[in-house]
Amino acid sequence: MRLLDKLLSEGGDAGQHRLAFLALLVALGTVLYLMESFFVAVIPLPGAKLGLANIVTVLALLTFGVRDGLIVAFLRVLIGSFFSGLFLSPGFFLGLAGALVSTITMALLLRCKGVFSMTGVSVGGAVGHNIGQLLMASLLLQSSAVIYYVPVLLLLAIPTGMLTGYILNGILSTREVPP
Amino acid sequence: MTRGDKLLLILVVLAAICSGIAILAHRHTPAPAASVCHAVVSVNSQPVARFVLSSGRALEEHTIRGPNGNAVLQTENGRIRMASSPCRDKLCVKHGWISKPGESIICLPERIVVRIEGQGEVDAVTR
Amino acid sequence: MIQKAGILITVLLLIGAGLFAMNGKRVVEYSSQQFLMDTLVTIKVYGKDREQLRSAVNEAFAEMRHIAELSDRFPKPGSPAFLASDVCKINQMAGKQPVHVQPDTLAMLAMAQHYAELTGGAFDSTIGPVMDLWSFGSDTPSVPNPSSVQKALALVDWRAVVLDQVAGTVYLKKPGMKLDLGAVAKGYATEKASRLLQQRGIVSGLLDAGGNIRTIGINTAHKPWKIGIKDPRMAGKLAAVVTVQDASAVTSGDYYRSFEQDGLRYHHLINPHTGYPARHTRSSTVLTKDAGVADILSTAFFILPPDQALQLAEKLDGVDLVLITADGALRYTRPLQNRIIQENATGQPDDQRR
Repeated sequence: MRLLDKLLSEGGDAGQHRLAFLALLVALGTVLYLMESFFVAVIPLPGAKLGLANIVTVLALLTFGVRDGLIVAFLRVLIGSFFSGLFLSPGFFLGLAGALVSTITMALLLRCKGVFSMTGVSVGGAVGHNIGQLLMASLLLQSSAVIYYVPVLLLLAIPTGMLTGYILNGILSTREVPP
Repeated sequence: MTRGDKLLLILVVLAAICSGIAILAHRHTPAPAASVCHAVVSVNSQPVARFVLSSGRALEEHTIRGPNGNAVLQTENGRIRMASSPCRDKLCVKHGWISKPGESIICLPERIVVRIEGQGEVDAVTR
Repeated sequence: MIQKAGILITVLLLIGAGLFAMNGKRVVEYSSQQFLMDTLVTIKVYGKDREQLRSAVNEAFAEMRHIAELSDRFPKPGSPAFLASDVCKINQMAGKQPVHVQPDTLAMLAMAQHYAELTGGAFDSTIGPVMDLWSFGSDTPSVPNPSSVQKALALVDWRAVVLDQVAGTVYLKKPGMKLDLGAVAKGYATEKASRLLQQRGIVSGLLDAGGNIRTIGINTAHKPWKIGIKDPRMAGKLAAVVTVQDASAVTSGDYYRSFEQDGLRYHHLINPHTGYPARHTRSSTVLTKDAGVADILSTAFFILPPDQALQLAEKLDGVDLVLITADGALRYTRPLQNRIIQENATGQPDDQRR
């Protein structure tokens, strides 16, 4: 937590710091979200994503709590959809549902202090993301055929969640912060 | 990884396996009955009639007035065909029954087109 | 201060979102059918402005009707349709004098000459006299006697067509020669119509002129178009499904305009070298960008023996071929391996065939 402590303790108005840090997280999340959409073609499954953008959601949850976590998740999907031109398209709603469900799941897992490491939290977030997407997809398609995806996306959540968890562990354990 | 993490991972894998088994078990239940199709008949590019094609329906005959006389269409059990036509080559009659969305019967001399509404498995057929 | 800025940015974002939503009108389909060139022509286009689509499609139909008039071969002499038909005028003046024609007629003939040479005369636009003898369009088609076929064949020679691009004239050297653009006009017209639609800003659409398919762009699912190839023997069945993107698929099959006599089926795809229907193939489908080229080549590849047809198709750039041969086998050019997404077993060999 050194990096975050340092960022937050650098004097000045706490409100301003909060806003600046949230803006940073939204920007970072948007970039990760967009970057990921380029990788989608590599994974031959619609809806499957690495979930790197979840990293910023966890950071927001850790530093500020559930409310700001949800705001960051919502804003990064919204702004990301402007950039990718998918605003109000099915893809936008899928992303939104995934991001919100995953944020809530991770917030709940973080509540249980000491039980889960970042790996567990991220895997939970990835599962939540995929479940949220599937629920929205079945709503949009008016069809229950998407349940065929459930096992695949559940299993897929493990490696992707572990990857983001690994990155998060790395970020949070950074000892030296460049001046 | 903490104990909680491991427990979570095991839970996710179990959930995946259970849902997979449930889906496989359900796959053998018969698919729901095909939805109802509609056949649209047009003469000279103007729609003149629309018939419901639903399975289990008894044979019905419909007369369509073309430029050279009357053509007779038959609908039955979710399918439709041209039973007779005043045209010379009778290609439309030889075409037989159609039942799938996107399929069509065309009678060029009589300018009659029977098309089943909906998106077929292909966008178009070259022939 | 910063909070105010935050509120301002949010409001701006919401306004932007509203504008974006209004601009992102739904894509609509506009489709229309007309009977043209002895067949049913369907044009289906996609775009945001229905009115714009409608006027573009009407223009495209007008363009096709114009080509149909130029190449119409059977109006009554002296009628307005006869006077509008360049082909009729050229045929009437065969052996007499060159005829001034429309640029479209010149373009069609230039293409016809090019592919006649390329296919060694397997495609020949001067097949008219032989086609007349077979009279597939009449009420009582019958097999003509061999001596009259030989006589008519003497008049079939694409080398005796003289095109003068500068003067804009066409001349048939021998009296009695007759052009028949039946294997060119429909494809050429389809191609012209599709180019016109593209000029009018249409980026997704499909033209179907009696089974001559020309696709524009990709379909509304943002995938290449899926085109079925009709099974030549089973009604309503497909022999194969191929993907086509911004290109054409045209088929020549032995199942159209055919008749039976003494247990043998005779169809309208006449070999210009023999004067009789070609027998090696049931249907030949050409996939290439230009619908006019596809129309000509599908006829030529039907006439040529299958091996030769496939060999020639592989030599041509951007041309692919699917053949269903007389024994019911499905054969195609190598690059198609990745584009044929479905292959169905075709019927038995025809026992009535030689």
